[in-house]
Amino acid sequence: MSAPAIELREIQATVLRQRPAPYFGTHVLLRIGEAREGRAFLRRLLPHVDSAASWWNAANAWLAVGISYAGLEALGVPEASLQSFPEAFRVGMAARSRQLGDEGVNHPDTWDSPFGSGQVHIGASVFSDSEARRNRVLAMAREQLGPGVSVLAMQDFGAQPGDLNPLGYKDGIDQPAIEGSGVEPLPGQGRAIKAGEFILGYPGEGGVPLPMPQPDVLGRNGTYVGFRKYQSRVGAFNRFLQAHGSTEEEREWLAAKLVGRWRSGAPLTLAPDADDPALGANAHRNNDFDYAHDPRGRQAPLGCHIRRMNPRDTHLTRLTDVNIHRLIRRGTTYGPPYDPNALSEEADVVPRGAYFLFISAKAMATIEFLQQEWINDGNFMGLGGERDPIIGLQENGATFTIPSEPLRRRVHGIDTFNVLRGGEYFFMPSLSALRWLGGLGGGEEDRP
Amino acid sequence: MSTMTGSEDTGARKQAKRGSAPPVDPQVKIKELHELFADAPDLGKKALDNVLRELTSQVAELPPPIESAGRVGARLGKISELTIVVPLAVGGAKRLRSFLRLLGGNLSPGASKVGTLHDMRFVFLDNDTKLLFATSFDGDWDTYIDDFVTKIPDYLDIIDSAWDGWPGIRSPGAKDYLVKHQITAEGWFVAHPDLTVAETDRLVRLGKAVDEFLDTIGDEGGAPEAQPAEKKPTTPEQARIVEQKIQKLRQLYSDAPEMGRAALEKGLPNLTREIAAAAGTQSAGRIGARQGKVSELTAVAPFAPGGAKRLRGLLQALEGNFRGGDAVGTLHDMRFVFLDNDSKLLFATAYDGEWDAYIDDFVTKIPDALDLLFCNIEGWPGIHSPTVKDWLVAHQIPADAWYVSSPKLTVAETRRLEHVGQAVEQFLDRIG
Repeated sequence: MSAPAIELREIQATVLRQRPAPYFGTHVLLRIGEAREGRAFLRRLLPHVDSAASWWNAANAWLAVGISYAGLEALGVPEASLQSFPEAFRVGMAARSRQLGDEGVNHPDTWDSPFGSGQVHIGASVFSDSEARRNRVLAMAREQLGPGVSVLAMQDFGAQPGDLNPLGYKDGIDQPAIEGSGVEPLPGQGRAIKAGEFILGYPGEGGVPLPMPQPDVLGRNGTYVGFRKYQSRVGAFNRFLQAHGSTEEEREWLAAKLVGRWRSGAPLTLAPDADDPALGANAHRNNDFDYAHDPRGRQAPLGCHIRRMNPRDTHLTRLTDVNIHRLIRRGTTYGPPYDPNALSEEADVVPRGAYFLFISAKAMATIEFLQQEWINDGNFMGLGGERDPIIGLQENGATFTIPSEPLRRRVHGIDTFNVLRGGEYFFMPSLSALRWLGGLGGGEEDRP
Repeated sequence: MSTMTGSEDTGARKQAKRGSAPPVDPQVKIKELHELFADAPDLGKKALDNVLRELTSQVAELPPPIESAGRVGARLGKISELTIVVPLAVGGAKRLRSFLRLLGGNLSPGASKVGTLHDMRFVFLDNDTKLLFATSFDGDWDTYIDDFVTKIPDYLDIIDSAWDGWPGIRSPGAKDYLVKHQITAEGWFVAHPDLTVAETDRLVRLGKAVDEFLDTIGDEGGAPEAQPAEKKPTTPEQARIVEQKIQKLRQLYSDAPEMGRAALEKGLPNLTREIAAAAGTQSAGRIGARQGKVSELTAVAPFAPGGAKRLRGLLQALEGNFRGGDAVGTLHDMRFVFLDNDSKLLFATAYDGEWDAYIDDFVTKIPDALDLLFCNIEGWPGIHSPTVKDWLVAHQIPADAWYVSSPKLTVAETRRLEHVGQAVEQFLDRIG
């Protein structure tokens, strides 16, 4: 049975295109003051929004555009169409804080402006392999703004030396493979997942397409983006390693156990005893494993970050289909690079971290599922209430269990290492849908 | 404790009464199932074909059939179900609902005294004219009622004085009244059929001790000092609210039968404490009550034409027991009860967390099993329909009160504790 061909020319490039290495980019959050101006802006921007037709070509700069529910309202999308969007998208990420477990330090009340204010209408991101090209595309996009569209916030991002994330690990490994996309799966990526899980209008894993916003031209080939800004508490992370490891070697061992990979990206399953930078750097080898020989987590702890985010063949306590809880991730780091010697509490509040684009045809449901089940709980792995050591929101007295011989080791006092600073849900329309949205005024483009 | 050794543990399940039932040729059962589903909707027939291979193995292996829990009710292993639907007296629904709300829908203090109750729910049916009272409990039905009579008669009378025709818990006619209104479940699943409430409590204590032991000898720095539980003094403000609630209760019960009024007065000293302590239940996502980590789902839906006959046949072929329930991994218990002359199905479960989060997993993992069960219900849209969540929610009736004996224990955590318990016994056997 052959999968339906995906209309690559319709889908925005970011859905399939990996960020280049190194990468440079900017996220821009926009507010539409007036519907007519907003539509005119979309029409001007449209020729510059890349499709996935040449997804492999990440050498040029490209532009990605997402529109929030408030943005769709501001553009004058008809009521019936607005109501065809899922509830969680309509109310927005801040209003779903209970379902997302965004409490305490992660609560929307503590977020950076303008997140959660209802003012963010459009999220646009420029990705590029060079600073110069990024600047050119950004300048071009700014020229299209016009009077009724204002910039609420702008944030540059870019690869750190060695392509490391703010806690000092190589990241971005292990993306889901998408059926019919033409992207050859990397070894260990698992079977390709039905396109409908990531792009609207195609059959999903359940055999049928997911519900799609109406009319068809608006929904088809679109997808959703959960945009989340994290700030890394590098001091707390380093203090934790210091407190539980007396030598550099012990600290790096613990750091690897938390993630399931060494700093280089080499997985514990393939390199259980020591880091192997050559393995970490090799995209054809660094993800080529399963947990068949490590059911109890003696190599990669059951509760480590990568095993939670993709349990692969781990026996789970609940009836679970691991293929329907995957997200395409586009992580983009900001601020100064990881400093292994930063131990102070001041280091915890330095603005550095990552903006994530979590992309899926049901991103809202998937992010809520992951937050509830795989990040802020341990029950699905038989770990009681333990949480994800990297992105979990830790409670007082939280622990991290490292299965070992002869006795399990339990590390006490694990802290929240990545704090949520804001987030929004965006709909990432197809190119035809962007055209449709731009033309909602009914021929206003021809009028002066 | 010898019951915790491995062989006994699995043995208990096996010996769970294959009973004296004569062996049935699986092929005969399969044929009967085909005949039974001949008039089912296409969706149901297709689902039956799809699961037949799996079903063949289930039917052939003869899962432990459910048996009787004393006079009425079904039992699996050591755990029984009690499902009662009683008519409510005039004004009874209003009184009872207000009473349950004053306790925050949480009956823990009284219910935990019984010592055999795993869970218990109160659900109002048919425009408040009937009450569904459903529990899962250890052991024999008769003993269970006797527990109630001796341990918490006043609580019971406050509640059951809302029932039409109730003779009073101390009356010799009480048991007959209950039998008359009890409906035995046609399907009954329990995740841990061998774990009584007491045994579960023992495992929790054991698990905690093992963790502390391992922390002490294994972890650098040792375990953190246990924090003493905070005792919150009652503020004058809180005391005033409790007093108001008590006054409201008195008002509510002023038109209750004499028995109910007397029970209220007798129970007041305890009630005052419990109202003050009422932690309340939370919501289980979209709909339904939750205590700690365990939620209730109670749904009543009319059968499709021929649906009752088909579902009964299906449940009988499975001997009323569902091994599939284990695969879900979150189901503490689940019952299928036929109501009102086979015109409606009552489906009630106790499960972990929120079902919304996992509905998509059901769709891809066990679509046929669900279509097979629910195609017998009027209006079932099919598991693949985008409206299936809304359909389920529309038939769900949230409980007004929900009690769980171990609200912190998920099915998975209980299983882990069982393993810890077995390991400890083996360890002690070896050194002892």
